[in-house]
Amino acid sequence: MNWENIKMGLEVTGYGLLGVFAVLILFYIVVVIMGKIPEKSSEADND
Amino acid sequence: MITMINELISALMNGDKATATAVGIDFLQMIVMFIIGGILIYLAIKKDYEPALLLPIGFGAIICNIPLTSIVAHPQTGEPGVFGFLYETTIANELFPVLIFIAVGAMIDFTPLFQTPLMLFFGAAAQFGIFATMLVALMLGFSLPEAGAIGVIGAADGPTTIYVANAFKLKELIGPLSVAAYSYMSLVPIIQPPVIKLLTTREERKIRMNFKQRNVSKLTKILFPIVVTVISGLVAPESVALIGALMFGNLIRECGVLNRLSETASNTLSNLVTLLLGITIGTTMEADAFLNWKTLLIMGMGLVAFIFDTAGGVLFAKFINLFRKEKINPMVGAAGISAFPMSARVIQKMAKDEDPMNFVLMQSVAANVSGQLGSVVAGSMILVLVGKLIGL
Repeated sequence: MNWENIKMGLEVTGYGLLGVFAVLILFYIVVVIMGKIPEKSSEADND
Repeated sequence: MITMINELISALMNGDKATATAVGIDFLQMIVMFIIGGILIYLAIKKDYEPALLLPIGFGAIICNIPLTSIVAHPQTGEPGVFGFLYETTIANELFPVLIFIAVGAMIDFTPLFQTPLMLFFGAAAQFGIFATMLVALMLGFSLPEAGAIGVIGAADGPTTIYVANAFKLKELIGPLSVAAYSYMSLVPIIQPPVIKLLTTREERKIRMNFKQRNVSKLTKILFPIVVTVISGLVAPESVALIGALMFGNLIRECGVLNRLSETASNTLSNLVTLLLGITIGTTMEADAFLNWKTLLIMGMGLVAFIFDTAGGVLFAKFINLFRKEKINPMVGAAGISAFPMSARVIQKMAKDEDPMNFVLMQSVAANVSGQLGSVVAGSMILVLVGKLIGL
């Protein structure tokens, strides 16, 4: 077993999972903010 | 084939054992590849396992192993044949995976995501299998780029698998990786239920979830693909080709003024690229490159990747439930893999089996489309990180 490779693999796993979660958290924020657009536009329509 | 038999007979008659053995092995390898191609065609036709891909791959595996043909490369001069040329101009330069993503984007409706945004996290959690499988592959002696490409099978996303393998210049692994990715994708209804049942109680599988129908404005649907592409690009520039293509397809779909292009992308383009992609990948499955222990291990690890992905999603849902009043049905977490829409359907069926009045389809679809995004981001992370560590 090549321990150097496994060490690099663990590094990729740690940063990789962190990166995936970070990007999807950003998407979550985008989705939540954008999800509010219809409420505002429908309010504007009512006005 | 006749040439091969002639060679074998003359070698045997002359007592040339070395030549006879070599020709005999070549002959056997060819027969094995014909059988493998036949099995893929059988699975496609008889079992309906991803027929649009497995049938062309199976046929490609047969024709590229016919001795002395020049469809991939000329046997003497080595000049590329028709499929060698197709490989170099459509797969090696990532053209086909990107085109497939435009087609996929034109087919996806992200509306359920806006109705249950929390499901986005399952699209991230279910990518756990990619990294876990990569570690297993490293322990089995694969190099870091090979292990990364093998892990991406767990993305349950054929084009991303091909894209990553290509970026790491692993031509000899593209055949087995694609066969594993597409075979297991079609086996999602068989692979996921036992894993989910093992990790959940009956009570958990019966959890009902509220769903609020919300209207999503056209402006939101138009802005979403653009914003997502920009964010992904800024965080992981390597993801722009795939996410950008996916979101471009989606923008065409949602803009409302390009219906003809949207239809062309989701039907004609998708069919045409799938047709050529399958057979071109099949023709990379030459016996010398395919028949080795690596192929067997890749097939085994593909299954491991799907199991880990499913487990990652389910366990993450259970973890979130520790902090929530309104519980999530943990089965929905398993839909975070990107096998769309099959995984969502499997989860709804399982929920209905436990409680005929339980409807988790919308949440599962939201998790499933999140998985599409998550898998591309995870594939890009592997590209960036492995590339940086080994200086690619």
